Amino acid sequence: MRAHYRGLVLLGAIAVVAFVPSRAFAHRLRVFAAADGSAISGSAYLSGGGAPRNAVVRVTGPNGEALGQTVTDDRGRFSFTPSRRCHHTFTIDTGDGHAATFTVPADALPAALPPLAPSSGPTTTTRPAASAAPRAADSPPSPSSDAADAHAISHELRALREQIDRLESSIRLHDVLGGIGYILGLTGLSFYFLAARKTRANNPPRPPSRTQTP
Amino acid sequence: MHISDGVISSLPLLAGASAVAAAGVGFGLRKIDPEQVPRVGLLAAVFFVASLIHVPIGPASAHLLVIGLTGLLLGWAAFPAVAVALFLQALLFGFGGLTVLGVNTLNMALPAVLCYHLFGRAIGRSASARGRFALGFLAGAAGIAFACAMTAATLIAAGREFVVVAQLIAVAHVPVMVIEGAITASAVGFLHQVRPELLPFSARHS
Repeated sequence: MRAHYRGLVLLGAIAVVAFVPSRAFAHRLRVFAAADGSAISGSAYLSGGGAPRNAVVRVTGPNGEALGQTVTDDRGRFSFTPSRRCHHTFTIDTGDGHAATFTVPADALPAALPPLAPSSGPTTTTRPAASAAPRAADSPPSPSSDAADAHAISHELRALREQIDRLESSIRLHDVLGGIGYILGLTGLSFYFLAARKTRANNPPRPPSRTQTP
Repeated sequence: MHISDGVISSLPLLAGASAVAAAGVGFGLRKIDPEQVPRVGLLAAVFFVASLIHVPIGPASAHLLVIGLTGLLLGWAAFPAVAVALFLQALLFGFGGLTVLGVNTLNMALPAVLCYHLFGRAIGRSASARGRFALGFLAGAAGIAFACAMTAATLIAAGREFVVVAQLIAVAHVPVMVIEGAITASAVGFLHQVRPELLPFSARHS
């Protein structure tokens, strides 16, 4: 029984190590970006804490064409001013083998930007339909407070999107348990196959015996 | 140390490294007999989980990779163990990638096998606990050092600058080498006491 006990101790140590990593213990480079007014702001981070500092972020268009590049600051944040209304793909490569990308869709950018290719159709600047005649009881809506509200809402939405991105990239306990489960399953399967091979080796198929028929 | 998808765009490099890794996995699989299967599974699980343990280095951090220990205990069977662990890490954690699975397997399993051949016999035949501790420490540190060298070589072959890569990878992993050396040394000592047949080339090696 002592051998089994020691095996259990080893297994228990593995289990402890498996339960220790929480959301914080991860090491995956991620990048997130969203339109913020007329610019795109983003952040690169390691999904476990820390951020790549002074790392180059390359910006490419929908067909891989280079749109420019920017650099992360001390906290991994960066910003880029788009000049075309197209998909912007941000790629960060820290040079040690880690890379991450994120694409900001074209329709998140201000409508006033020109499209990428002139041949893609005439630029249509659609304006929201003017509201009906102002109600007498309300004061007419002032453009600056509308813009300020919209800006505040988009700022909050951007923070929310970034939170969701970080949540998606976190590693949860069930990921760890799932991986260990697969390894246990493969171990069991290989037991089965090895045993089957050994059984076949020990019991080679016998040639059919010839019996005397009376 | 895990190389992500998209970092290496050179197809011959990817294909060549994946072919060598596949050959290593096949060779390792043939060397496993039933008594070794639990050990392979156990070390695959340890390798799988080890990358979650951080070693903070300045603003960034590196993670543990029990390459030396895996090599010492498994030998060539380290290839399938590391391949399975890397595959699951790519799927479940997003570490590394699936297109670069062969490259990462080669970069981490070949150092493990090297540690087995370089240090295994000496550890098995060592008569003193201090000798085993020192050799275990060397094996753990060397495993990381070899893996750093192979990863750096891969990145340089893919077009990165030598100085930048060397600084990022080699320098950043020096603390990891120390910690891995300590872990491997204490694991070797512990195993010698409780399950000496797990250690390579020991008198009761199974």
